[in-house]
Amino acid sequence: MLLALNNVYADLSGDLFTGKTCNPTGMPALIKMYDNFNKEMISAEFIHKSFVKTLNKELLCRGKMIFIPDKGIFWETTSPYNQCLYITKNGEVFEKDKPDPVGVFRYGSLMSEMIHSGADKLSEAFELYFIENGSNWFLGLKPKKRAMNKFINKIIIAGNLDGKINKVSILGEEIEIAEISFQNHQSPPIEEVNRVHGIFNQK
Amino acid sequence: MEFSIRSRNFAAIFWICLLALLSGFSIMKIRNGFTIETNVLKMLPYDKDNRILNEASDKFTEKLSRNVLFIATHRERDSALSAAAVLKQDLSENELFKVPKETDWFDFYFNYRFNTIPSSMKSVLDEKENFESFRSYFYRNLFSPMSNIYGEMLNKDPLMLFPKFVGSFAPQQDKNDYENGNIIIEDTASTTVLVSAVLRENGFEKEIQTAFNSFINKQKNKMSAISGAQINYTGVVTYANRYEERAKFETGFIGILSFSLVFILILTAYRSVKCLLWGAVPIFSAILCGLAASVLFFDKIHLISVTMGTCLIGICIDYSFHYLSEYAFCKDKWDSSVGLKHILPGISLGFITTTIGYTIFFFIPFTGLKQIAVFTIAGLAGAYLTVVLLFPLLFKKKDNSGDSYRYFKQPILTYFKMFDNKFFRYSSLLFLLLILITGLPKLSFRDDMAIFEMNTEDLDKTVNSVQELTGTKYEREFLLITGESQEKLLQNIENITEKLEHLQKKNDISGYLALTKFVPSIHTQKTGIDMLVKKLQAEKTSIANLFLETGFKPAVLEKLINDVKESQSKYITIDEWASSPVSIEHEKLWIGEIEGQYISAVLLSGIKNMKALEEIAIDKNTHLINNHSRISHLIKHLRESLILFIPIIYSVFLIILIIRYGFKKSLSMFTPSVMSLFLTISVLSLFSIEVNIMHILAMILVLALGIDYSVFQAESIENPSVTCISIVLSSATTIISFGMLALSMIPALKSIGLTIIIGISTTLLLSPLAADRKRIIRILQ
Repeated sequence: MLLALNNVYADLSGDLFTGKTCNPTGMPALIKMYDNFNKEMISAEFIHKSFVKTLNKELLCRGKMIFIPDKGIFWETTSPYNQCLYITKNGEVFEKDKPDPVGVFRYGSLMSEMIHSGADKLSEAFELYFIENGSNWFLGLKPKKRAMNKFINKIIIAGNLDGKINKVSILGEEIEIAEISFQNHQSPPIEEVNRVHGIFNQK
Repeated sequence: MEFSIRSRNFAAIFWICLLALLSGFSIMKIRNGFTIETNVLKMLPYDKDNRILNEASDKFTEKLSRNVLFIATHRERDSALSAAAVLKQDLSENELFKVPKETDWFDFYFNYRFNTIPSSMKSVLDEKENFESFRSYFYRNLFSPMSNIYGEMLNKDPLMLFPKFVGSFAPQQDKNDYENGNIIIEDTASTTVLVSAVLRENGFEKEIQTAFNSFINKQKNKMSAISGAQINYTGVVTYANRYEERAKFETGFIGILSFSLVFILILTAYRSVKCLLWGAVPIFSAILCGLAASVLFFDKIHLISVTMGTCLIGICIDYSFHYLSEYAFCKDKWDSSVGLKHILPGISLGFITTTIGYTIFFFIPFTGLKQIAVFTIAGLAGAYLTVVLLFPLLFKKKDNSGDSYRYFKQPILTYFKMFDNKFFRYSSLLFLLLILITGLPKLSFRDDMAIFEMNTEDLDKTVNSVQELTGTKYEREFLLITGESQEKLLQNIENITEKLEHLQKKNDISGYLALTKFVPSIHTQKTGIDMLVKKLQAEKTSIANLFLETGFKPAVLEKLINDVKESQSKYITIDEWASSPVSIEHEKLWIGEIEGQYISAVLLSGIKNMKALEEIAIDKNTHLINNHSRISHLIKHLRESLILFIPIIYSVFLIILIIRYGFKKSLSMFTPSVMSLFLTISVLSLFSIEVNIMHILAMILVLALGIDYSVFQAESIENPSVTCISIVLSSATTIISFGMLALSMIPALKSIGLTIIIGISTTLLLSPLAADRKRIIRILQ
């Protein structure tokens, strides 16, 4: 757990949240990222680490994420359990073959909100902080809604100047509660895209 | 003669004593808790065939009346939040309210976490399911942010059953923010915090409304002094309050105006202070007798009945007018007994016909009308007896009052002369016939419960906006589920909720709220616990490995197994839930036991397919209740019955008249009333007013009063011209007092007012048709 915390803060090269809040529409890196979100389909492998303070181990799961503009995110966990979730553009999270939305997977709607609300609307839900470090940048988000605050105190998104997100760290009041790293970003194969499209179209 | 005077004096003293006794009795009864009812449903027709359901429905409405939502608004978020916090604190310290706390759910349900296993978990506990689905379910829960927020409790509830249960109540797409259990709504101009509370008592009770108003006023002042936050509120109590305020205003307004106008009329007509002072005595005795009879027959009286009861002033003064006219316009030597003798047959027969008209109200299953009937009949009896027993003693000697006879004489003479002219008479009748021909075909009816409801657009607007913001809008329709025992009831609800789930999936309804969400049946609780016990026993090693793999200490599993086993003998019961603070907001769903039947309500939202809903409510334990359409249907049925009833009442009146006056004279006496009835309907239709049950009931009154006027005329052998003046004065007071109702905000009262104005005016205008015109003209000349 400590290692994970060190990882997050090591990326910051300074105190991200002590600076002034920023206007995301003036950040070329973020504009590039949202530009990518609007036109590119991206797939990436993810590693989701969860740090539950009462457990003496960190929880870890892996899987694949496919992002399709105008549709949403397909989130497939393959280890240590299998689950296919799809997060619609308006933030609803569904499990494959189940008609009702999944209530507990709040990260999904959060990610959807971050991606789909656009750079200009992001500041409506969050206080935003931004720093650049070489080819990497870090965007700090503090939720404005107290309901979300109960779950999440801060979010740090780490990305690079190509407009790709490498890591999302979710922090509680005093402690990091989850970290999702992305790797092997690529355009998804057409058969994958068709499969995901088919699932989204069911809704 | 001496004996007659003595007995008259004795009767008068007896009557005064009785009036004193009645006032004492009324005061005592009112002080002991006689209340004014403001719930519209309580005065509407009741369905004798579904007594249990009606009672259940009433109880449910009463429980709904307790919910209140307070709205604290300020342009600064922190000020709105602190205002809400102060308000919540004050609410919880006030004996009037019950306020839910955030910890209530944990305090109650954590100990029952195994009793409320969600269906999603039950599917993984199924024996047929392999361990992989349990493992997957377990991991998914741990990966949710809730696992961290749960903190140390995770060791006590590693399957996260409690947060799963609580989470099932949270809306999936919640746009709102929360703090301390309150919903926070923000827009660019202000922040609004919603604080919910529940009244400990019925929101329709006057004392509760008074205490509530006092609390609200204090809060508003306090908030504006502290932070400038605006405090608003919504709930049934708001409507009941508005209803009471309006009815109070209308009662006062109509009462004072009627009194004033009657006094002015008496003073103008008789020009005597004595006539003014003693002439009003029948009004007071009428109100006193009406009130005494009401408190004797009913525990509560509806505000509409009180408002309509005040119109009694307009009828009971008739008896005074007849006596006072005899007294004031007497040309020969005045004898109070002879004066009474002249008017006694007329006012007695008038009293009988009016009483018959009102007695009909008593046989209609319409609580409000029964109250009006009792109040008015007792009031009329009081006024009649006061005139008969007291007036001859009060008006023994004639004073030197001014004579206004000549002022009335000329217009009445002119009108009678006009009516005696054939051309005028036939052209008037032709004109009236035209009104009938054009009006009657346009006749349409309105059988809507809304005629008893006041226009409350501003309140509806607040309610709608709150419902929109909170996304909780329940329909007027709801289900009542019954069962022979509490357990049977819960099982019946579970059966129906399964069907409701199906309807929800088909989008026939958008949601529902049932008691079993909070208290599952013992069968369901037991099934869940047994499944968990079996799973923990069958897969103990695999679960132990899973716990180890995810970082739980070994003792956690042992504790889990022990806790589940212990919970096998304890179940949530309705009584336990209802007596706990956790039920504060939803206790309305539990109606209780009525005649051996246990009853609960299921709230429905977003009904899109009523037919589908009706189809699931076909078994004997499920009843789809729509008070609006149920009562509207009953009103329609009553209105149709009344329309059929009117010819019967007419026949009764006609028979009475034929016995007394013979066939030919009775027919002519009858004509003005009958014509006025049809004319009233035609005029209403011409102005595109849909005729409702209150119009019909008012028409019965018009008929009774119209017959009265004809009877007074027919019985007036000595002084027919004086009787004419009395009738004009009587009609004027009736039109004034009832006509005021046309200004009412309550459509039902407005309907009565309009009908009486049109009906009595036309009866008065047509009255020369029934009179011996030649004789009256001769006397007046």
